Amino acid sequence: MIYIDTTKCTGCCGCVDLCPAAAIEMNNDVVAINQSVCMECLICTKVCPMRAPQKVA
Amino acid sequence: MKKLYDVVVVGAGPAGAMAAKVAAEGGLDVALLERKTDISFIRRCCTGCLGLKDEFMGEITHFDDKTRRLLFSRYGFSVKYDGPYQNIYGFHLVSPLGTRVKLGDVNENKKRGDDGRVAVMVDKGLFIKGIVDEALANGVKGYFNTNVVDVWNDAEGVVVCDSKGNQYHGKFVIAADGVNSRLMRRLGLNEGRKWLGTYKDRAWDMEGVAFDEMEALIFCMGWRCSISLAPHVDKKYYHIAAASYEWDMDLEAGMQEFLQSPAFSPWFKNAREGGHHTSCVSNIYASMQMPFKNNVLFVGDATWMQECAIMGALLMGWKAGNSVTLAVKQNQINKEGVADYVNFYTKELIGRYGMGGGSGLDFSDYFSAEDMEYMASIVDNPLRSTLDFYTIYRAIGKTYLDLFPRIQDERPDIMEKLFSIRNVHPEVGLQKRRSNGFLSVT
Repeated sequence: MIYIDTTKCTGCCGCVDLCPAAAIEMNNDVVAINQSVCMECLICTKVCPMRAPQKVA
Repeated sequence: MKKLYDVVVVGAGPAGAMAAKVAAEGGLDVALLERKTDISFIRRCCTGCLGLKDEFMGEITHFDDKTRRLLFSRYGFSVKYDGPYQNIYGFHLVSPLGTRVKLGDVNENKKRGDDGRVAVMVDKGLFIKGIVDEALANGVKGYFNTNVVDVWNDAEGVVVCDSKGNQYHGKFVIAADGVNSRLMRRLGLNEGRKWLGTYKDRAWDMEGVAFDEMEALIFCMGWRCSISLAPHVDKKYYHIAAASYEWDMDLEAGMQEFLQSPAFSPWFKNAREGGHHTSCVSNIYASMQMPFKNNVLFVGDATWMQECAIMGALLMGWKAGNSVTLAVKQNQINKEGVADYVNFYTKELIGRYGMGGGSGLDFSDYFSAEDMEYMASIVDNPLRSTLDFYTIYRAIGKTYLDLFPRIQDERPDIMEKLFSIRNVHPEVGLQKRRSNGFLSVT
């Protein structure tokens, strides 16, 4: 699954905008992944300038 | 019973906030949807620069220091801003070895005070909050913490839907959801727009930065990442940013390389990180040809190739807000009803600036640091003060055209490279960018 390291995340929402599954949203100013919708395409891990989203086992 | 708004505005940035405010002042029933809760906290890279002096989209904007209003005197409106600001006196390009090409000499322009500035930098969060507060005071219903994911039409009008399944109904929708607009994609409006790549940006606030002529926007040529520098509205800080079209670029390492270089490390010798960190991902498309479909109007960055800048966003928001007001008052809920906005967009954006596209050529793929230093050193500074990006490129192009005989004489090797890049097909650079980006599809 994909985990977002909120200590790195600026909340710029680049991943929210580019996620092809619309699985990421801004919730109370924190970016959160809906794991049940996520396809693990890894685009968020590639587009994030902060490298905040990471694939974890 | 479902509520039907006159207009539902998606996104409370400068374009959406302005549209909502204007429509509410006209007595319309307005909903404003925004995914953040604290709009005054800016999370995406932006210097907050408002360009003055040059004509932009038919307007020459001024900032009046007494009334604290940003004046759009040709179109006939103004925006209140009470927060701190910083004057910007020029735009400088710097070679990797440190020589500057100056569009505006900061020290000279500073002597002329407010008249010598080319832009005023504001606290963008406070600036937007001012407009949103006015909108809310005029009866706009704000829905914050609301992520809009879809849009469609039903018998009564337009429906937008958030990630929790809540629906918002409007006679019109104004889509101000930014450069990566999801509503644009949901309506299929990105089809046929030329895709120019995915741009990643990261910015830091630094304390203790010191060098000559700091009150300019500075672009540093020839680094692995695009490096841009700017003052900060809080004088304690200075703003540095690294960007790239390559998804696997390490922006932090690229910035470190710059900070530690012989030419620039003296500027940062007492510097340390402070303030806050921002980032940004932009999928760049050529401009939208028609900013309207199915009673949805597009404004701000959602429409344009590059960032349309805060000024462009305010203008589009203002125009769209007025246009929708007129359409609702005349009960003409269709494209003809908002012809004012569509015509304005066609004339002042597409008419003036075209669809955009760019070559995607990366100068540093062709010229060495030493080449760029030579090119910078032969310019007779300062060039005309401007912050308009269309004027900047024309001014620089004209300067070098005049210098060609000298370059041919002194550095025929550079002249040869200049001629060879003229023959590179624009698609070559764009292909490289596209292969390093991610086209957004849904």
